[in-house]
Amino acid sequence: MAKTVGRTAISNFDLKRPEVKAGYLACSIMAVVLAVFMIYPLIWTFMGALKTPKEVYLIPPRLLPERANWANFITAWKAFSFPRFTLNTFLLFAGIVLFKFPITCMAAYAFSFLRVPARRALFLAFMVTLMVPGMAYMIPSYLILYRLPIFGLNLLNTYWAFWLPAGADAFAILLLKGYFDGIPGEMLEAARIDGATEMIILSRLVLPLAKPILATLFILNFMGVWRDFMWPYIVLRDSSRWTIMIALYTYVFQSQILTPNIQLAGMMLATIPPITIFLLFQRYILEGITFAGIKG
Amino acid sequence: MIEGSAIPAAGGRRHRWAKAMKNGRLGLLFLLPALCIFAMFQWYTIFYGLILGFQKMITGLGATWVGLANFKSVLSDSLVALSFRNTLVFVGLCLVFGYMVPVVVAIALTELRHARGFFRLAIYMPNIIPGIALYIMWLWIFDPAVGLLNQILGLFHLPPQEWLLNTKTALFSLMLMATWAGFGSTALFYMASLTSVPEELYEAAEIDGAGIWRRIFHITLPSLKTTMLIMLLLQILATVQVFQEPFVMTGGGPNNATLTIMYQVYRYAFVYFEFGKAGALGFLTFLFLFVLSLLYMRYSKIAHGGEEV
Repeated sequence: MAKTVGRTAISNFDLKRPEVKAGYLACSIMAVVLAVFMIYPLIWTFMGALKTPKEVYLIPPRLLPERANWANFITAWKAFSFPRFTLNTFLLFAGIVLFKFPITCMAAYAFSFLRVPARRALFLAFMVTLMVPGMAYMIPSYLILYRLPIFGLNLLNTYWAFWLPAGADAFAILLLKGYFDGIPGEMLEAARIDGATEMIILSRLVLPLAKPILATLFILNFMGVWRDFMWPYIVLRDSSRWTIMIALYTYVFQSQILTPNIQLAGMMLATIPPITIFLLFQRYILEGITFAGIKG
Repeated sequence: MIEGSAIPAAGGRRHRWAKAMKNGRLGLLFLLPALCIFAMFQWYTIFYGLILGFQKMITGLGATWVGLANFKSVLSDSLVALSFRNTLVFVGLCLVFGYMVPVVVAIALTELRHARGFFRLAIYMPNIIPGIALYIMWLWIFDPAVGLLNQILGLFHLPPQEWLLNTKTALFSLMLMATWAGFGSTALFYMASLTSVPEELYEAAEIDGAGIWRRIFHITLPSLKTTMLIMLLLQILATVQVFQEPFVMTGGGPNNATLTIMYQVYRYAFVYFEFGKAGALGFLTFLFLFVLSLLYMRYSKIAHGGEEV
């Protein structure tokens, strides 16, 4: 996954000195304490999800439940209507992929391999949107979706409010272009001589070569859609269109009808997909993180 | 591959431009969908956001220009003043308690000889958990009666706190949660830039007899300087915009103790339907963040060796 670090401030020779050894030990202990600090709350939460409501409110509190109530997860699965809202979330994601990938791939291809007038200025006009803080979009986007200019449509409360703008993703264009630039131009020239059109070169030659970056984008976007809350909450008011996060928020924070163990079980269920995907595709995701800091 | 590179200057400007357009027709065609979508959902949206503050806007009825009226009423709103104060306190708390944590953690973890991957995963873990799930978890960690935090305080015989329910500790509690959840990814950035510290520097320092601390202060930290500066700006950018945490965890309460600027923008728009005022307050915040972003651009350019985008 990562480059192996060569030597660092402490050398192997240093480690033979007792005072450095003590320092290294302190360092290790700190790391362990840190890990406990990060992981213990997760274990505590998981145990909470396995308790009965009575055990959650037990004083003095106990970490382990008398016996693991796995049925809590089934209750949460039903109480939060997981099947319906998960399906909604997948539907939302599928449309976003369908709109985002063709548009950004074509744009990145144009910037990497085709002649474009005022290329630098245009590219800058795309990239400058990365500098705009996310909060600047909330109000104007809402009003634009309320009455789409030129067309006069109201897209609020529909998935089109997410699908249509999906292609306006400068981060994806940047990532793709960065990858495309590494593909040798001679390969494309050879294909052109053989009479391939640019569209065929893009779909048959460039995209297969760019699979790793496409996978990274795909995964990052899925994680993004799965965890996104604020904007979907503002746009999708109708409960039939809610995503899983809107449902979690509404059932836990707005109507306190569920007992804490069920709330925590629901929280755990909603965390399983991103954790699974992360553990499976760590390499792809960490590649993308390096860029993720760009957008504030 | 750059337009106009092989075209003689004799043709003049217009000729050159016409030729570039002709040669670039296919390229423009490939860009067309992106251009249309960006025009509507990025450039126009941003522009609209900038002019919105100067309008009185009622959905369904359209907009009228009102000049600076929105700005005046926003700036004289005592809730706005309070939201500025709360946001500044939050930004400050995050800097004081959270800014150095990732640096120290990154340096310490990089020194480890064993299980570095495990620790890296452990600190990054909260970033994988979706925000709302994280808030549900912390809702119970903060719980005054049965929460984990008060259990820990109890271990040290400290009095239990009310955390989110007390005006004095609510912002601090949100900071605690945000730091716990966010420091891991920043630490990974630092760890990545630590791998590029030339080994020879450490070798030379060791041969010259410099101790561990001197190596850290004179080699490790200076080589992190640019990253630290960028992270400082990014952290301020992110924390000034804090909204989702108070919205979900406290609803701005108790008694508006966690009402932040962005929360106030949200309230103007979606509670009072005063889109013009929301736009005006958003504009002011945007201006501030934009200046910070420009600084970020400058420094990240320096960080990448003056390389152009």
